[in-house]
Amino acid sequence: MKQLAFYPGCALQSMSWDYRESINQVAVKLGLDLIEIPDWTCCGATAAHSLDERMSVILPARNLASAESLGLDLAVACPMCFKRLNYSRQMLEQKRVDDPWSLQSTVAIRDLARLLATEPMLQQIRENVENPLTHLRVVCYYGCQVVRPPKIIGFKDYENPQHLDRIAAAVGATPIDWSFKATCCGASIGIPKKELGLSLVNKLLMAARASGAQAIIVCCPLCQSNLDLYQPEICRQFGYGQTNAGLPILYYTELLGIAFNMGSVRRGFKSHMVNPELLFDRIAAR
Amino acid sequence: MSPTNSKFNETVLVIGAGIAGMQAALDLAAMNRPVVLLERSPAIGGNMPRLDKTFPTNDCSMCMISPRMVACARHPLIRTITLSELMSLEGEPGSFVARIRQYPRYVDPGVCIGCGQCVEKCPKKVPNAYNADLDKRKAIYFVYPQAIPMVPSIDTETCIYFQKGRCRACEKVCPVQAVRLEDRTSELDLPVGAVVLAGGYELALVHGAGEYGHGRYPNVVTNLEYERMLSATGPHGGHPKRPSDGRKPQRVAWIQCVASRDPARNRNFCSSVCCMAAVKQALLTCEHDAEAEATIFYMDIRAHGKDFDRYVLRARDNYGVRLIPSMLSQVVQNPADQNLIVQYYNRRTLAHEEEEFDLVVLSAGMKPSESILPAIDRLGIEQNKYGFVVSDPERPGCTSREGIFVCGALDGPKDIPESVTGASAAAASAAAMLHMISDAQPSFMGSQAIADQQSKPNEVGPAPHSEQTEIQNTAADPHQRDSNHDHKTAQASPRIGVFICHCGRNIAGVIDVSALTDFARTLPHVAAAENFLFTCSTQTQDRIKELIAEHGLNRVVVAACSPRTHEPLFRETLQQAGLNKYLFEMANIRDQCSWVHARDPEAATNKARQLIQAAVARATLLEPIEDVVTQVSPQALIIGGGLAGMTAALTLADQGVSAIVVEKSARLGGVARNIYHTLEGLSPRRLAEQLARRVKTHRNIAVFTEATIAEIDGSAGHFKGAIKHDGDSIPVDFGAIVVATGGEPYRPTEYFYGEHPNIVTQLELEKRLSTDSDFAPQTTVMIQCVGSRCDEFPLCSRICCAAAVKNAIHIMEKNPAASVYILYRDMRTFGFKEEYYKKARDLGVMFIKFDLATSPEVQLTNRNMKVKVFDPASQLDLEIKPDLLALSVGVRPRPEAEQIAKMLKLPAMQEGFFLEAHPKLSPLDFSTAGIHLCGLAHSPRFMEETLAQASGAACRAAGLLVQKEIQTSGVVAEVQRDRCSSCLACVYSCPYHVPVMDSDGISFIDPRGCQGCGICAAECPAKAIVFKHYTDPQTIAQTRVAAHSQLIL
Amino acid sequence: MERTNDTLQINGRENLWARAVSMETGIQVASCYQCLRCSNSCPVSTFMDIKPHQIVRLVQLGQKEKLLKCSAIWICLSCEMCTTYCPNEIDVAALLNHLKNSVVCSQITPAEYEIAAFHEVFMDVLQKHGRMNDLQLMQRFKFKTLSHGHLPSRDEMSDDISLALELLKRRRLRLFPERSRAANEIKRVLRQHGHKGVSS
Repeated sequence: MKQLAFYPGCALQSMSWDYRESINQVAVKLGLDLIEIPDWTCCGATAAHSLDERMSVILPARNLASAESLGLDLAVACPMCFKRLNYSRQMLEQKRVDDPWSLQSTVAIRDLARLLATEPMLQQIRENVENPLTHLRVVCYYGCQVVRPPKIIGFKDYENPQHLDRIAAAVGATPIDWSFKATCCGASIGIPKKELGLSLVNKLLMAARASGAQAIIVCCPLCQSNLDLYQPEICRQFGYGQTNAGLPILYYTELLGIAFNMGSVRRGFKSHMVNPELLFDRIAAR
Repeated sequence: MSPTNSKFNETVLVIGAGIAGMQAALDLAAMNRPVVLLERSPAIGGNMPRLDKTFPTNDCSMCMISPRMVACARHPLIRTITLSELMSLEGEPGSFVARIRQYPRYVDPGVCIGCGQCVEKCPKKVPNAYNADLDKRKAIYFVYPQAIPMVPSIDTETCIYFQKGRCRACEKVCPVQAVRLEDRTSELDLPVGAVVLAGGYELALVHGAGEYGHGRYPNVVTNLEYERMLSATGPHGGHPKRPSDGRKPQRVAWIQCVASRDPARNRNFCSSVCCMAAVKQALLTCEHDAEAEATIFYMDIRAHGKDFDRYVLRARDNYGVRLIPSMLSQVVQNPADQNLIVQYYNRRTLAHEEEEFDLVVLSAGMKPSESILPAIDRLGIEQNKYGFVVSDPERPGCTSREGIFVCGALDGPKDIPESVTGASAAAASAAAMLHMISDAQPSFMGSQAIADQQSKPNEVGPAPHSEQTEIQNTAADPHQRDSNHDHKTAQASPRIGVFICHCGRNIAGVIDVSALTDFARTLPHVAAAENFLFTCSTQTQDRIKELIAEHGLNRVVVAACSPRTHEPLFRETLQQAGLNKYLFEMANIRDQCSWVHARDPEAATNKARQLIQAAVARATLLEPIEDVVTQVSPQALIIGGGLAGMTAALTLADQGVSAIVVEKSARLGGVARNIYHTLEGLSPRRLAEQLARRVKTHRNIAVFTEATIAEIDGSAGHFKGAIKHDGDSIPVDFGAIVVATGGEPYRPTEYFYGEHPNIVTQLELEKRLSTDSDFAPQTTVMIQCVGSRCDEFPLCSRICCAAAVKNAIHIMEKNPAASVYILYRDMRTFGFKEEYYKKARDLGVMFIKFDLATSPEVQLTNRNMKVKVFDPASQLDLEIKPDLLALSVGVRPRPEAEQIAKMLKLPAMQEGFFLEAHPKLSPLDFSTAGIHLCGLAHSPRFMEETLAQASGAACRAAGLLVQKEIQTSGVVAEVQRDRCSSCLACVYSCPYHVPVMDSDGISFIDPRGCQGCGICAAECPAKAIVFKHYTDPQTIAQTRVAAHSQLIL
Repeated sequence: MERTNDTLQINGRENLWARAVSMETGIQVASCYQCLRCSNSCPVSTFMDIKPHQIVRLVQLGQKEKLLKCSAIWICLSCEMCTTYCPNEIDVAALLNHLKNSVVCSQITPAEYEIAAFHEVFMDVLQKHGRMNDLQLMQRFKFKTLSHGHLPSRDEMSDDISLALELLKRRRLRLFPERSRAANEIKRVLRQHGHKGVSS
């Protein structure tokens, strides 16, 4: 078992508990021992840097310090947290802000999805597939935090990221290429500015449908919430009517859980506004 | 490997056979230097053949470059080695040893006749990279149909034989057993004196990077891919098709500056040509399809070349090309139909737009060719941070290493005329170096002629050289013709030999060649008729000579391909057989018959009969003609003593060719004397002084200041003129002329110029900044395009954007708290000058864009200046109170140019700049042979560009001046004096201005100047002009026969 | 942005603010050549009163007040398309963020009050619990906007309530989510580093 420190972030403990569940289940299968950082604190998300940039450097760093004291590389599931952690570290390394936590920069910060998309892990995934999802056509939606900006993220694949597509392919599904892989869903802007949020989400849902996808695979809790929770309202407002069945929005770990035939992962489905059960039943029936 | 003896060798190794490499090779060969032309790919030509039509003339690229390629391939002094690269270079300049690695072609070029059977029979199809993978080629293939050498090569990575050991179909089907599957890589050591690098460019776009969806969305293509689609020689025959579904693209968008002007991706330079290329592609698209809509998304339209702005306006106003100053970052694909959707903010309408396009073209920038980079590494040549070779701006074509020169896009992205110019300049530099190093005499006539000229008064010449080396004068006709023999031949009754070609299956596959041969025998005056499988082969030449002797033939008709292909070959065969070469006629029964009527063999055969009959009729009346041989006056006249004139003179003089410089003013140096420093930190002033010193003391140069030239007469190789100096008139002879009359700044009437000491031109500002250390303006406004790009003067003056940036940087560096505002229309800091544009911005210079409709307003009240301009970026009206207003005025040609134009009958634009023979491929020549052009007289130029042009023009002149004599074709127009009615029709109609009225008022056409176009003969109302070799009787005989035959088609 | 008839007097000192911003943040606003890639790649530029490229130019022209009062800086999603695609390596997203921070330091009321208020409430909850508490976040946010004069319509209220119920049903809204024991430590460190709030 490979040990990694794990930083879940706020969303995974409430709004996106299904993500957390599926990660727990799937990690075990894939030989990952994820050790949650004790007393982790919020990374600050968008609010911290919007009000005072220095807060956005200070807040995430505490969690880095925890991982360092554990002596383990830090796996992060939420792309927003991932980016904030990287940003914080870079700013502290460049001494742009004073470091209250005395970081040593001894541990790596790993994005969980990218980690699972490395070739050795993909191999493990393929070996664990018991229910190949061969009739499933999906688009992978990465959101904005996991690929931009390249200097902070440390990868240059912002034009056409592939890691979720590779994971989907590894379980037998067909990832369809589309132009909106990393187009922002609006994050939390929908709360204070609903119309704006709805318009951004609608654009994404329309594009996903137009590409022929049956589901959208995501890695970010905020993306999942936006794309999932607003669907009924969007149908009402933009007049899609009953003919447009909802588009299930799945975490890649949920996808893995289904492919690994883990019933426990399916339990998370009831948290979704658009229930993926129907989709998987249809596929299983084929 | 060290050379066993370091013997001086005159051969120049040119690496890269694109347009620059070929030009350098041809120029060097013209100066009697042997050249080895190395090319990595299987065919010469480089990138240029892949282009469709070229701006600004819209001439077809292939049509322009084919004659150069043929000339290269044919030139006796140029040895072309394809599929090769340079592995190492040992030794010293003048005595290098180059190790060449030659990769196997697997086809013997000495035997191959280019019939194409092997390609036809090859079973393996692969994507054709030449056509950007839009179509397929075979594993054995010609790079493109017009490739030279016309010999296929085998791609071992895809060939079935090389991969799996089977097939060998090509070998079996080759009619001359040219396929050599056992070919191996070989190496050879070449002793050379100098090396010219001309490796060229490729696109910088990485296929997998996915920028704008390239490589991901099928309908996003690069500019070169689109050129192939537009090109008649391309995969779609000139009718662009969308990659996804083959439909015609109607709404096409161009995205400029892809992988250029991009410091974030370490490409902080401009690729110089993409703006014009995009405009051209847009124009051609709309021209081709009236319903097409072309849209270009850009930042600045860099139309800084000669007359480019007019072209852009034509595209916009006549063809509706939309120019939108709003750059895109992303393109979205519509999954239903693979159309591309873009969103942009339109800063004219202040609205967000969303548009859909059928095709998106990425104007991708250049990088140096990958294939030559290892060689450059090995040679240890300095490269800039983008990998381009660094060339010395003050010594055109010189690299960091002595003896190694560079030209073309390898030392920076540039347009074709600049590549050609740089090639000639590099050739000149190489030749000059070799001349200086050579132990023995220079191997051409310059020195002897100079010694001859010693006897003439008032001319400075060198001390005579005592030795003479063997002259390899291959320009003269190697075959001794006996004119008596010719005369006899002409008088005797015509005995015609008709030789009909099978051309493999090309002709024989459609036409009944043996029936034709029988038919030919029945024609009047035909003494012998044969047919051959390949008439152009060496064996057939021998057979033809035998037949000529056997049957006493005195005229030959070959019915085969186009005269363009092999006429010179057949003419040479006739000469070798003792016949005058003009007693030869060809009938094109391939390109104009079997190829185009392949579906109707009977009709094709009939037509071939007609063609042969007509050819025989003409051949019957052919006369022997003598080519004209003239002695060359081995001296050049340089009109103008500025940087251009001086550089031209020195370039010639350094090769042992004497030059006369005639300068109107009292001092040498021209406008350069008043320019203190360039953007890159060079000093034109200092250079002008240096060159003036060298020119005045060079033993091969005579300088006349306060002098003009008058009464120029004659033609290439033998001009005569009179230098007017100090009341005297000094007669001079010269073989070539270089026009370097220069330019001057425009004196503005706009913006209160002259009414305030601080309203100045950039030149004046630069002087003040350079000479007055206390001068440090606090607030400066610069206005671009003053007196340029307007109705009165539509040309761009090219240098003003860089001049403004230069002065702005100077001001800011002197005083970091200063403010500079540059009001511009398009920032045209092309090439590596883009870095300075960034530097200026980083220093805090603010750039405000305006267009013709919103020109800035300047107010002058008392001594206070106020500039009002609308800033589209902030949508605010700005009011600036500068203490200095600098006007970027453009360049005008000197008024004296008009006089020179009249005297030499040279064409000029309405704006006064001279018009060269061809804006792309002959920028330094006039249509009139023997006269060349350089410097500001050509068009606004930067200092290093002027130096390159001058060097290049001198090189072009040297090609003529180093010959003892020149031979011009005898196919010329001749006036029958008794018929001439002095109507002047020929004088007006000749494009080369050759006919003159002599003292009797009769038209005289100098056979040495006549280019043999035939226009005057057609125009002459009295039918007084005989056009030799195309006389009326000959032409009428041919036409009459053709018209009276039974043409069934 | 609409064209106004205002004329901006340029006196050569307008770039002092830009230079200060550059020095403080490292963002080289002077390098901009107005290509518009930032505005064209921004997913919400259609909703902005001042577009990103205009914001850069206005910083160069010293238009501090105009920018601090605009709504665009709050609309920005921090998705960083602009930063990623800027050829001159100008971190446009960081610039807009800096402007937001400047509003917070000033007396100016944010043009998008709700958005700023949301951020502030988020930080309040964060400091109290060390982590997020969605229910508290929503409650406080609604209350804050209410007290700022935003009266929700009936539809809005019913939408909010039904969404809340759905979330509760799905256990996505927890009544008592886990707190971090480090909440006080966080609060202390933030105070030490001078955290600011938003003025109403």
